[in-house]
Amino acid sequence: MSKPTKRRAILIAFVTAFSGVLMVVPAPAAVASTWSEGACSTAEGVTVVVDFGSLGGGVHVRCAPGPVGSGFEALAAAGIDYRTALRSPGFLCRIADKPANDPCVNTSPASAYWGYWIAPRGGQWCYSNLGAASRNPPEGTVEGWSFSSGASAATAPPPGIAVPAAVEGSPASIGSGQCARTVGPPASPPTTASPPTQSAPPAPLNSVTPGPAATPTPGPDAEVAPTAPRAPSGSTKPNAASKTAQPTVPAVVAGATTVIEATTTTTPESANVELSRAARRAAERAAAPVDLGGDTDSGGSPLGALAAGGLLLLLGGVAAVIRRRGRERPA
Amino acid sequence: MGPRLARDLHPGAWWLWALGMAAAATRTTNPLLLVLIVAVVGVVVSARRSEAPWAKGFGAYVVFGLVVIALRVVFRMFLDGGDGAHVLFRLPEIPLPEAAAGIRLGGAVSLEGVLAAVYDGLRLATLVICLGSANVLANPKRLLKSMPSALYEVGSAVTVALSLAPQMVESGRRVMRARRLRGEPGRRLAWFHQVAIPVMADALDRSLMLAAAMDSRGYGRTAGATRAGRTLTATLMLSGLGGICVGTYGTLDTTTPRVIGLPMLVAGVALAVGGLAAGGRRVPRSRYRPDRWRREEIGVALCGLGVAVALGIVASVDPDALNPSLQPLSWPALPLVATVAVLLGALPSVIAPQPRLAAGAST
Amino acid sequence: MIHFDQVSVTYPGAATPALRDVDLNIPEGELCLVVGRTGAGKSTLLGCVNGLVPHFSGGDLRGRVRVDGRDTALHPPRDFADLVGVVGQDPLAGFVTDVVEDELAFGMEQLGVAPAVMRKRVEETLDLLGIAELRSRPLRTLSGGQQQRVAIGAVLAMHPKVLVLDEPTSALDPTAAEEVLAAITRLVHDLGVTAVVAEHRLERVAQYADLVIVLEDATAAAGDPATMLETSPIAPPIVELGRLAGWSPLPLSARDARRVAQPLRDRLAALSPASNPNCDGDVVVEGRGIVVRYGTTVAVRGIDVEIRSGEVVALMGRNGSGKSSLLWALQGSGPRDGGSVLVHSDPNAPLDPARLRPAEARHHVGLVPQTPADLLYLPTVVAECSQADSDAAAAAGTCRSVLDRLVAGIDDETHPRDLSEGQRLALVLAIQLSAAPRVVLLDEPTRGLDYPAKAALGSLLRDLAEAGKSVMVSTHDVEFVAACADRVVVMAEGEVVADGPTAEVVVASPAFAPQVAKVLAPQPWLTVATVRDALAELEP
Repeated sequence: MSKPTKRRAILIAFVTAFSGVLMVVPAPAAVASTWSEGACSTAEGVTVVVDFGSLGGGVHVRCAPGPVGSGFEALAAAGIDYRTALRSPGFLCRIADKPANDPCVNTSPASAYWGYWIAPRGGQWCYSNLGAASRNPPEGTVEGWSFSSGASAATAPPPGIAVPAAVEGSPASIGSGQCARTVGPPASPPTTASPPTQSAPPAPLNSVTPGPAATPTPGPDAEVAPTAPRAPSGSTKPNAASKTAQPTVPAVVAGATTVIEATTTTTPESANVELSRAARRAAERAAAPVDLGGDTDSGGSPLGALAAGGLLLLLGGVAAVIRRRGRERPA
Repeated sequence: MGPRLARDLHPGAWWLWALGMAAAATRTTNPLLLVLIVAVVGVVVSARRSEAPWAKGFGAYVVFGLVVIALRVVFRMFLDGGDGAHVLFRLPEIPLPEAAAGIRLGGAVSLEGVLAAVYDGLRLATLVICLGSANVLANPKRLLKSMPSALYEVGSAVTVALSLAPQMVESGRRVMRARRLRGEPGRRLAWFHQVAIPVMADALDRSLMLAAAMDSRGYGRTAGATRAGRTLTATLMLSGLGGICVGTYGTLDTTTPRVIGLPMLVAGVALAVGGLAAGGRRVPRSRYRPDRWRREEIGVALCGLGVAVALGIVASVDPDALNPSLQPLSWPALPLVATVAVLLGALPSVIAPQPRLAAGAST
Repeated sequence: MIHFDQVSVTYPGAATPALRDVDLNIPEGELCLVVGRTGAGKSTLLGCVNGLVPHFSGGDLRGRVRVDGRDTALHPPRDFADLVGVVGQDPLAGFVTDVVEDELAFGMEQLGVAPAVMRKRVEETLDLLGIAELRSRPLRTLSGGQQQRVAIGAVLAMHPKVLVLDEPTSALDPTAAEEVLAAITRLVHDLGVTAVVAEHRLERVAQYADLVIVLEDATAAAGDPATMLETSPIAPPIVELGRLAGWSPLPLSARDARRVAQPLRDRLAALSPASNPNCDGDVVVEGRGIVVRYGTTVAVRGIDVEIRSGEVVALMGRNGSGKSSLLWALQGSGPRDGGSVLVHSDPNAPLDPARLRPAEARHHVGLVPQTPADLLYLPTVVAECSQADSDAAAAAGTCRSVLDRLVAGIDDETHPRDLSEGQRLALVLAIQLSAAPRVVLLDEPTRGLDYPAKAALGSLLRDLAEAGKSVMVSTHDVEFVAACADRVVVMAEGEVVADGPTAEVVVASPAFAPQVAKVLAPQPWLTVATVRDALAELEP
C-alpha cells in the first residue's frame, strides 16, 4: 500500500472506531428524579445549594436523596446539569450552562469560577479542601456551589444564604481537614465581597410556572448591594427577612422553603441611589428563567459525524485525483 | 497555456500555512473538526510533497500523534477515569495517604472520561501533524537560507549542526562496531566511555576541519561594520527580544496590567525588526537563487492564516460549537462555518505548483 | 605569485620549529608538488599560503608570506578567499550545504558576488570539472572522486589564482585519483591557476609537476622535478629505478623511462625475479558463498575465499566493491547474511568466528579497521597498551614490545590522537596483535602513509607471514601490493574478478600495473627491490 493510501486508511479506521464506540455505548442508568425542592427535611440525603451570583439566576436549594458518592453525584442526584472541564475532569466549570462564555476546556480563571463550599446543617460555610470528585459527602450535610466573580480565590464568597438549620440526626460537624477556611454566617459578610441578596426565590427551577416574571424578583447583583425587591417601597431594612413580603412566591415555587436573608453592605444613602438600578437589573434577569435540569437525554444526532466521514472520503478522492494528474503532466 | 512549471515554493509560505492550521486546531476540541484538519493537511501533503530524502516521514508524525492520544487515554484511565454516567469498567482503586487525598488512582473508568482524553489528545496530535507537514513540504535548510541577513550566522550554525548530526550517528555506529574488535572489554559502565570518547574526538576533529574550510572560503567577513553599528544592532535585538518575551507573558496572563500585554509585544516586535534591519545593512553577502514570494506563495499563506482567523472568530462568537460538551454525552455537531473554513485550508493542494522532484535522490 | 621570505613556524608548546627559514618563490601558473615525510611540515607549509597558519592554527610565524602581493600576517584567511582556494584530504568534512549546486555557490555568496554572475560561474564550474549531471545530487550520495571534484569546484567558482590541495587523492581509488589529477592539470594548463599539491603517492603526479619542493628536517628546497627527486628521500619507484640504473636526467613518466630503459632490459633479459610463492601452507580461513547485504544492496555476492598459513593476500578493487564488508564478515563482527566462514586455527576444531564472543574471536582473527582511531579511547599510549594486555590476557608489556618493533620512538605519555597516521596504525596493530591471532586482517592501512612507512608495514606483514600467520590486506596501492603480497584477489561489485599470484594479476592490466612493470614490460619485474637483488647477483 502506498503511503497516502495507508494514511487515509488509518484515518478512516480511526473515525470508524470512534463512531462505533459511541454506537455501542451502554445506556446510562436512569436517573431517578426523586429530588425535592428545599433543604432535606430529614437527616437522609444531601442538601445542595447553588448560588449563581452575578450570573443571574438566584439561589437554589434542593435535596438530593440517598447516599451519594461524590459532590458531582450529589449534583446529578439533585437533577442539576453541570459540566466539567475537558482537560481537568475534576473541575466543574458550568452549572446549567452558565457561565456561557467559559469554553470548559481548561479550568476557569480565578475571577470567575464555581467555588465549592460545604457545611454541616446549622453550621458555617467552609471552603472545601477537596474537589467535588474526590469527596464523599456524608448524608445530612450541605453542599454549596457559589459563583465568584471579580474576586480572587482567597475572597470567593460562599453561597448567599445561611446554612439550613440542623435536623435530628444530622452530623454536627464535617470531618476535620476538609475545610480550607470557614466563613462566618452571612449576617456579617465582608464588605468587599458582598454576596447577592435575595428576598424571594428567583425564577422557577423546572419551568413549572411562568409566574415569576410578574413578581418583582430581584436579580442578585454583586456589585451593588441589592436591597429588598419590594422596590416600590424603596426602603432598605438591614437583615430584613423576606418571607412575609411575598406570600405568593412560595406557592409559585411549589412550596420551596428557601431561607433567604437580605443583607446590605452599603450605607442606606447609596443603597437608595442604586436601588433603581438594582430594580431594573432585577427585572431584566427575572425575565430569563434558569432551568437547572435541562434535558438529560444523551444522544444528539450522529449526522455531524456522518457528514465528517463523508467529507473525509471526499478529501481522499480529491488527493488521489490531484496526485494522478500531477504524475500525468510532468512539468 | 500549458501546465504550470514545477518549482519549489518558498518554505516560509508552507510554514505560514501550517502554523495557521495549527493555530486553528488550538481553538477547538471538536473531534470532527480536528480530524478534518488532519485530513486537509494530509491532502495537501500527499498532493505537493516532493521525492527528496528530507520529505519522507509524514507517516511518523501521524504515528506520533496516535501515540499521544493513546498515552492520554491510558493516563486518564489510571489517574482519573472521570465521573461520567456511562461507566465502561472499574479498575481496582489504590488508596492513597491523606496527604494525597485529591488524587485518585484507579477507580471507575467512564466513557466520558476516555472521550475527554481522546479530544484533548487529538488536539495535540493535530498540532504535531500540522507542524510535521511543514517539515515535509518545505526543506528546513532552505528556510534557514531565507532568514534575514542579520541572523545569517545563526542560520548557518543551525544548518551545519543539522548536517553534522547524521555524521555523528554514523561515527557512533562505526565506533560501536570497532569495540567488538577489541573484544568489548570491561565493565558495563565503561561502555559509554569507550564509545563517547572516540565519537566526540571525531566530531571535534571534523568540526575543526569544517571551521578551517569555512574560514578559507570567506565565511564571516564583516567588511565595513563599525563598532557603533554593531553595538546598535545588538542593543536593538536584545531589547526587542526582551520586549517580545515580556509582551507574550503579559498577553497570556490575564492578571497583569494591560500595558505589559499587547503594547509591550508590539514594541518588542518593532525593536526586533529594527535590529534585524540595522544588522542586515552591514552584511556584504548575496544569495544564490533565493526563493521569491510570488502569487502562489501569498495564496498559500493566506489560506492558512484565513483558516486560523475564521476559527478564531467562530470561537469567540459561538464557543460551544467548537467545544462540544460531554455532559450529557452526545454526538459532536459539525458547525457549518468552521467546516467550510477548514476545507478551504486544502486549497494549497491546487494553488501551489508541483514540486521539483529531486533527481537521483536516494541516499 | 607566492613568496616565502625566511619563514619560520613554531607551534605553541613545540620544542622544535615546524618550518625553519623557508625561502620559496612559486611562479604563476605552475603545478608545484610538495614532497616530504610524514611530519616534515607539508601541511604547515600549505597552511601558510592561505593564512590558516598562524591565524587559525595558532603558533608563531616569523618572516613573511606574500601571495600576489597580499601579506598573510595582515589578513585573516577569509580575506584570502578570492585569491587562494584550499581543498583538504576529506572533502565531506569541508562541505557546508546539502546539494552540489549550493556548495558551489557558497563561497561566492560569502564574497557578495552578484546573483547573475553566480549563476554563470556555477554553470562554468560544473562543465569544467565534468560534474554537470550531479548538480542537484545530495553531497553524501556522491562517490569519493566526485566529492573531491565538487570540493575543487566549490573553491574554483571564486576564480582564485592559487589552488592549494593537501593530499587530494589519498582516499581515492586509482580511477578517481586519475580523474582528480586530470582536472587539476587541466586547470593549470588551461586556466593558468597556480596549484600547490602535497601528495604521498607520487607515482601519478610526479610527471605533471613543474616545480618540486622537498621538505626535510623543517627546511625546504625547491627546484626542477628531475633534479630534486634525484636526491629526495621520498621518491616514486620510477625514480628509484632511475637512480639504480643511473639514468640522467631522471625520467618521470613511464613513456620517458621506456625510452631510456632498453639497456637495463637487456641486462635483465636473462634473469628472472626471485619468487617465493607460499602457496603450500594449510588453509587457515575458509569462506564459502559469503553473502553480505545492507538493506536492499548486496555488498558481497557469494564469494569463496581461502587464506593459507604463511601467506599475504591482497584484496583489491574500487571503492564500494565490498572489500570492507568481506573483511568484517571474515572476522565475525560484521554482518553475514549467507555462506560460511571457518577458521582452522586448531586443525581438529574449525570455528565460525561469528558464533564466538568478540573477546574470543579476536584471539583467532584480528582486524585493523579503516579508521584505526575508532578503537582508541584512553588518554595515553601506555594506558592503551596496558589495557590491551589485560584484555588479551597477555603478559604485561606484550603490546609495547610489538609497538616498538613496528615504530620506534613513541613516547609513553603521548596522547594517541597526537600521533601521526602511521604511528596510530602501528599502535592499533600492536593492540590487535597482542591477542596473538592466527589470522590478521587489515582494511586499507596504506592511506596517508609515506613510502618508508609503507615499506616498514610491508616488511612487518612479511614477517608475520614468515611466523606462520595468515594475513589479508585490502588496499588500492599497487606498489604496496607488488612489494609484499603473495596473492591478489580482485573484487568488483561484490564478486571476485581475479584470484591468483601477484605477478600474474597485477600486470594483467597495463594501466594499473606497478611503475616498474610498466617500464620494464614485457619482463615480469614488479618492484625495484627485486631488480636490485637481481642486478646484485649479476655483479660477482
